[in-house]
Amino acid sequence: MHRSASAPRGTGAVLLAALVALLAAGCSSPPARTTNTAHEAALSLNQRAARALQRGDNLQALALYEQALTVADSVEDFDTGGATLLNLAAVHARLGQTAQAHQRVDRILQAGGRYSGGLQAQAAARKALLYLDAPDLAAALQWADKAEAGCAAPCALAATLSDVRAHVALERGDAAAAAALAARASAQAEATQQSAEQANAQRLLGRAQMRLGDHVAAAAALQRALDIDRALGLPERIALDLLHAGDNEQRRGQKPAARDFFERALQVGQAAVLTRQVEAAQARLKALDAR
Amino acid sequence: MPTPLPARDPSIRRQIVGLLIVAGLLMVALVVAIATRHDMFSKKAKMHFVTENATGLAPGTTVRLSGYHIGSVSTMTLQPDLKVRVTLSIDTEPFASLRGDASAVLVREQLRAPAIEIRPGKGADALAGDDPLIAYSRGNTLTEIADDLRERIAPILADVKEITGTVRSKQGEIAAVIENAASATRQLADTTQQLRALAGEVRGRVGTLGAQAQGMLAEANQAVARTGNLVGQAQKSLDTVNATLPGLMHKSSEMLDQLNGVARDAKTISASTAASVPGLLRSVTPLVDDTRDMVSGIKQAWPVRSLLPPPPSPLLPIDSLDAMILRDASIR
Repeated sequence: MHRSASAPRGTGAVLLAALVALLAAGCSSPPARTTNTAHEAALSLNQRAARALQRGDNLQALALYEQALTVADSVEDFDTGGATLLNLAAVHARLGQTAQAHQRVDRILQAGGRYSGGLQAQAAARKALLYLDAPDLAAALQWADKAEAGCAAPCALAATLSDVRAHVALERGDAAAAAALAARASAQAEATQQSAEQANAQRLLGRAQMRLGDHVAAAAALQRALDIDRALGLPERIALDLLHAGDNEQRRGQKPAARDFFERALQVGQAAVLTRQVEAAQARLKALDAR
Repeated sequence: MPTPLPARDPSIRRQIVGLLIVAGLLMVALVVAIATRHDMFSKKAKMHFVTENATGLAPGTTVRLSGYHIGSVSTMTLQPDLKVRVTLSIDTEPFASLRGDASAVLVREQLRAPAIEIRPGKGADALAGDDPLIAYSRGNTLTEIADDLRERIAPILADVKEITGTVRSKQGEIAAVIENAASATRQLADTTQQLRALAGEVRGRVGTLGAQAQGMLAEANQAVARTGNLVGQAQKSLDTVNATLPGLMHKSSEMLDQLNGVARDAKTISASTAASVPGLLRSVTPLVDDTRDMVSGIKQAWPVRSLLPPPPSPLLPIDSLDAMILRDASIR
């Protein structure tokens, strides 16, 4: 009697379980709609600011990032707010407003609980770049170490931080160390497909090898940087590559080759309205003629 | 005896006197006209604002309220702090209607002289005092407005491109999702029927069981009933998706065409100097806002939303060349 009652109950339970599983699979509700319009607005403002920055309109970008930050702050959207703070720091740095740039970054670093580890590492990396400009090379290295320590593997900041260290080594006159660090940065950037950073590394490598007197290797590195920057279509960086390539040729006594590089840099600078690059190319050509 | 003047001399004299009188009257009329132009006969109220940049302003610049001429700029003075104090002289009647938060905006429409438009304000208190200070701002030029418009259209176009691209490339996928879900629902319905039949059979077989077993069966029956309701709900939501999806896709294509038109208008506006452009701009702006809302709605709609890639991070990529020292072209 007891057996006959339990058998159907067992079957029913199995069927019910199957039914629930089927319900979960077949009737899964559509993804929850995002109703956070403030979050959407903050993202949209960030996108507009990024476009302004691409146009070279730093002041407009600053104003739009400010608006994005206010919107993100209003709903405690720490991820978007943190990203916006870092973007603001980058724009302040471009405008030469170092104190404001530090202020923005410090807001992230001083409120560790609110911002993710990734944002903290980015903030530390931005600090390193700000100190590079100060120039406070020791502080730049300290912040680079902090950024690396807080950056989860695979660290997207690794190549940038290696380039920072390479530059510090170059500034301190240790060209061999600078070359080693730049080569490492290039490999890291290649592994993470960060082409622009890879070109930066190759440019630093070329400069370090030039100081070491290895002009052939320097020319090859600068050519690699040039190839990448031309593929990316970045005039300011192309002009930098050409100027350094010209310097390298000049140092090894190849005046016609140096002139060619400087004239190409001048053309790029004039076409892209890069005042500093134009001035630098003109100064180098003038110095070349004087000799 | 002196020789009498010829008979025509008195007539010449009268003509000269007449001409002098007419000239005098014309002179007076001219003076009155000039004085009127300079608001010397009407009672005027004064107010002022201070600006760092008075470009486009000059004594005599028209002051308007709701597009109606109510006065002009009377004086402009460069202050010791290098800011410019601009005094406006306006009719007393409109002045009385201005509120404490009234402001002035410089309106610059291409091919037309700049003018100051007074915004009366909405504050509780009236604008009081002799020569009160009001706020001042410079309105955007048409080019600036058109640029702003284009700036706002760009992300919408990007969204539409993404949505239409995704929907078009994944139409087959969407259909498969719906078919799978419908199939699962059909199976579920069959299972429910089987379960109901089973429950009925069991009830018949164990009719002689005690109260405890009966209670358990009752619970099982309730569960089956609840499941049946859920199946119905699932079918209903699938029907809704089936019904709305074609329209959704059609709308995306239509929207793209509409937005391309808006983008074209914006480009035309920035290049144009036609007097009708302000009206066009005013009509385009709400359209852009509406379109943005509609596109945003499509993006949020299932199943489009589930197919779209997540939005890119707003964080700008960090680059060692962000350091100015590494951009310095003078370093050798």
